[in-house]
Amino acid sequence: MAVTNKFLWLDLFSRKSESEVTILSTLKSNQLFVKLSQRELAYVSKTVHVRTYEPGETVFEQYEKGLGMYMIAKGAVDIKLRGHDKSDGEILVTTLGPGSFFGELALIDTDNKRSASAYAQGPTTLIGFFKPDLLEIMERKPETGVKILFQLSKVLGRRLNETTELITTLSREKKAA
Amino acid sequence: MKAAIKKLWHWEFTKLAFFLFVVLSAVLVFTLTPALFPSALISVLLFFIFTPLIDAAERKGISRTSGILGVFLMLAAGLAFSVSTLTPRVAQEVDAFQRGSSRYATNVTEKLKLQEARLLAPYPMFKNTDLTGKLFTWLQQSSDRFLAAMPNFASQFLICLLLVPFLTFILLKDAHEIRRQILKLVPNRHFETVYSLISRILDEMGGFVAARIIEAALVTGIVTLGCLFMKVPYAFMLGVFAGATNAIPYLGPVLGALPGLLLAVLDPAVPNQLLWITAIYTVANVIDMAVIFPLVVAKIVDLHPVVVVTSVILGSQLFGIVGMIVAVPITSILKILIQEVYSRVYDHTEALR
Repeated sequence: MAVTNKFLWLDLFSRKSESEVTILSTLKSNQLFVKLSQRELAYVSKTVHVRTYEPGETVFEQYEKGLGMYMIAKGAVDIKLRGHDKSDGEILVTTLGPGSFFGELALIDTDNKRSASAYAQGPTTLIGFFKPDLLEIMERKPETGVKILFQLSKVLGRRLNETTELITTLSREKKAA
Repeated sequence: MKAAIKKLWHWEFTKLAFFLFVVLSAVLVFTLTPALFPSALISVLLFFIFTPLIDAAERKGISRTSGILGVFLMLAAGLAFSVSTLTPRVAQEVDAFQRGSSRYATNVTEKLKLQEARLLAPYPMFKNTDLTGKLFTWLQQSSDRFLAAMPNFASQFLICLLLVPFLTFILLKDAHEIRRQILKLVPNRHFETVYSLISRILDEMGGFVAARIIEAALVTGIVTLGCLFMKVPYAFMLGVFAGATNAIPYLGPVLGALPGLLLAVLDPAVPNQLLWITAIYTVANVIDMAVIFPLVVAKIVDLHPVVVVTSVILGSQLFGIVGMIVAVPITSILKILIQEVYSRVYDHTEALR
């Protein structure tokens, strides 16, 4: 009974729906929005797009033109790469879980082509944040836009460093072999 | 697995069909309802005009609702000021035109009859054709039809007066949310394509409307000031007419100059001013064609001149003057559609090979 009362109380007086809470918590934990205030997060949460996927459904395909990034709110996403040979099929590179994000390069690259394919592993909820959303934030709330862009450049810089390190290691290994 | 994929395809197709049905229904409701169409069109135009202003206010920390109300208040104040200052002047011009209209009619009739007699003199079989009389009967019938339609115009005007502020407010306040809700209907596989298309089309239309309004305002200003400077009567009416008709590509500038040129030819009160009036319209249109159009409109629309001419001709054939006005923006929307589909379908297929 007490549980029911608590639930009713929460339901009547909580101004945020379940999906709003999910969006807010996903955004809050994301690297790109970590510097935003509560008010700014609330604004961004009204800009993003919640998309639900069936198991095995394609989020995007490799070489496809990209418009923006996706954050995983629920479920998991398989990232696959097409092999050099057609007969190779696709190779599973990694599986991303809740809180992860992918496709962020499309936010700043005008002619971005997706470097890998993404498929929902099970029932999955993704939060999409696209270039027009970022441009609108820049236009209407430049301070918020700058914070997001700064974080985005940090993420891209870090990934560039990781790639450079990987290439260096691989070339060293190749030389040693 | 195959059954699951088939089910997914079926679901995607149903969602796409439902999305297209909702969008087409909304477009048809607004375009085919005579009471709604003008209000919706004006609201969309006002939305494109005021969005940059509201965004600028929001950047300064003013809430969107306060910004919209501020713009509405400024607009009301501006209208009240223009009505109080310009109305006496415009009323004076209209009054003078009404008083002078019988003089113009007599003048035109006499000149036309003279020309008709001179032209038909070598052909006695056409002696009793009375072309001038027929022309005036047609003009009389047209003006009767126009007067008969006046009550309809008045009711339409009242509907606009009530609906336009309401629709404009909703669009300015919630356009993003409306777009987000519509996008929810788009199936996942086509989401990015549709979103990219909508964003590009809205951006281009916003720029196009703003550029056209700047153009119309400049042409109105140049013609009005030129006519005031040369002491040509009905300066405001001539300026506004030239600015408004400027929206029609190619034919607009000629159509806009017609009343001024006719005035110079037919009104004995405007002696020897044909050259000056021609010069005023020429200057306005040269500035428009040489500076404003290539720098503002063409850069936004980015269409080849042959495509522009073809689309304007097609528009005029299909929908008359309205077709000519909307030809360029519709062609530019089609261009975006083709570019987007090409880059998403063909480039992707090419990359997969």
